[in-house]
Amino acid sequence: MTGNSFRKALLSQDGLSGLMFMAAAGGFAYLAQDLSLGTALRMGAGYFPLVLSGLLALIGLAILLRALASEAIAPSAIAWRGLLLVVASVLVFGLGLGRLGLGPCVGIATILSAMASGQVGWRAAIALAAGLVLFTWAVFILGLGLPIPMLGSWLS
Amino acid sequence: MDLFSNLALGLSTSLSVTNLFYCFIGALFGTLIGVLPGLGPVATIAMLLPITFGLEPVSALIMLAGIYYGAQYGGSTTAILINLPGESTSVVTAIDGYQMARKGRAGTALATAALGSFFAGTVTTLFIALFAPPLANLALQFGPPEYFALMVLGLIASITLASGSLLKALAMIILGLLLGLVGRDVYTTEARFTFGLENLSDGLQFVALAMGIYGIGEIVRNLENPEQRSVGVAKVGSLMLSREDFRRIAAPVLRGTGLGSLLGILPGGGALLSSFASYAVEKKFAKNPKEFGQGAIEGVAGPESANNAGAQSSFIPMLTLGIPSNPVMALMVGALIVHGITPGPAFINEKPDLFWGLIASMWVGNLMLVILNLPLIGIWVRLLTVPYNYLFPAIVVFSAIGVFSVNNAGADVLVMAGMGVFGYLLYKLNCEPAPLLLGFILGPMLEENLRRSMLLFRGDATQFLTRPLTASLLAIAVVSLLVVLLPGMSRKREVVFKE
Repeated sequence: MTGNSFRKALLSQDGLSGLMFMAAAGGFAYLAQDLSLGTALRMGAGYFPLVLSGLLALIGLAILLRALASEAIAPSAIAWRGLLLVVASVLVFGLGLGRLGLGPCVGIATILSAMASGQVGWRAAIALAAGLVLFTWAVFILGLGLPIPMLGSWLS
Repeated sequence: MDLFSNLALGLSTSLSVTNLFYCFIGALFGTLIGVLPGLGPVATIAMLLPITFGLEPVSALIMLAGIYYGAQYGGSTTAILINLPGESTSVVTAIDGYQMARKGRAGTALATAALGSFFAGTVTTLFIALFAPPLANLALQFGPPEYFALMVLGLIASITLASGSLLKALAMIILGLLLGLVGRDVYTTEARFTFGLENLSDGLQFVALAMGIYGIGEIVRNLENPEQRSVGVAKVGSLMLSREDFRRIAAPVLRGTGLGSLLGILPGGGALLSSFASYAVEKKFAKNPKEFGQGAIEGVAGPESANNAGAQSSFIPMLTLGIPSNPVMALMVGALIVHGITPGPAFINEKPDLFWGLIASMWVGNLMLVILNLPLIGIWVRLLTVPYNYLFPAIVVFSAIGVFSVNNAGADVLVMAGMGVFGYLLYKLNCEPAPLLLGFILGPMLEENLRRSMLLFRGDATQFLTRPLTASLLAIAVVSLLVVLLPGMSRKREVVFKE
């Protein structure tokens, strides 16, 4: 196997999956070191996770080896724009719902994610945001009475 | 007769005004998401789950079930009318259903799908009522070792029946099991894999995990393919079936129902596998196989009955053993646990109104769908013109609020964001997420039963192999794994799924 095709196989869908599983196994095993192991009779907190990590590492290795021996299918390109904007709008909620409140969060998140497709104009995004702010207020605060402030501690 | 008094109890529960209302809401929402491509039942149920926390458990369950089978109906409507399966279970329906629509027989195809589904739903309701109680009674005698073996078998079987790479699916299960262990260990009270974060000491929140992988991950994935939905909608035409049509669909509906009820019970089975299998079977049985793909009514009747039957009978292992067989059932377990109910063999006897109410509501809901859907088809079709670009920001907003409201914790929303990135990564690496979700739900149960078994065995694991029941359950698991791993078989398996 030449260096180039080895690299290709390593960076193929299956090669990267194998590496991902092995990395996850390593991470869990590393963290499980601090846990009590116990005995087979009385298993501690670390026993089962360590067994699972071992199994996962083995299977990950098998996936990796198989990937090196077969035709490489590279993963398709990552859609960065969509990924970043959608995740950012979720983060707005995670970090801001208490501080900014429901209204601003829905507004900001809607505009951010509406931009993700690159096919929605500014005006449409703002209109959609206004509509959703109204709708979520009516459903979640007026209707279901969720204990979320409409305007958060930073704004009121 | 027990069966009838039980069904009567179920009917009286499910016909109460409140439950009828939630059944209706569930079926309606289900159809809605079934019609809309890019939004599956898992994401929708996860999104609506928080709303159900305030309801009575029976109403919550009835509504969630309604979403699930409603989605099967909705998916077939778009499959037939515009050759765009709203759900993966309707992929095969689109083949012949759309051809029928192009020949001006869309109405007939829709009516066939509705009647076939209703018939399958009715039969499967009885099937569950007949077989769930004895199965639960059997399971009541299971000890921890049997449970452990059963869960291992369930997990293994769920991946041998799914498509895609087996090794990867196996790795996904184990990763799911590990993620399920995050949080405080109930035996030793040690915090596991929490990085010292207080928010994680109760474990990763299930709704956040499911919503991240299936909701957010899927949205990003859909954004990769720019919209192309300017399709001509076929004229619906007459909804009536001729006598000849009835004669032709009778046998496929019966076969589809039988196939679906059986395959649905199997872990990993459910609606998807049932519809594919039924199409293959009908093609074999057909007098004129060449007609398939050209608008054969059998190709609609069989799979549509099968997917509905499979969707419903997949409730059996969840309700009787507490073992979910697919991600939707995993969500149901999650919903029940939030309500303080642990599904398992004692469930039927302890909560008869809940169990039988759910069963009866499936029949009521199916009836509702037939009555509702045929007249409402026009509205559903119009819904398809809502562009995805305007739809998904709303989905993002609703799921974030939903996940937050479960514990009023922003940290859960952050978990959802992380899981969204992870879900997209899994898609890039061609790793199917369903096994991860099953593993996640079963992780803590599997560990607990293993620990109890080992105590029972005084630390001697070989006793798993000397007890007849556990040994045979584990043997079936190993054999089914080996059979699928054999090179010849794996090639055959790929062919089946490609068809």
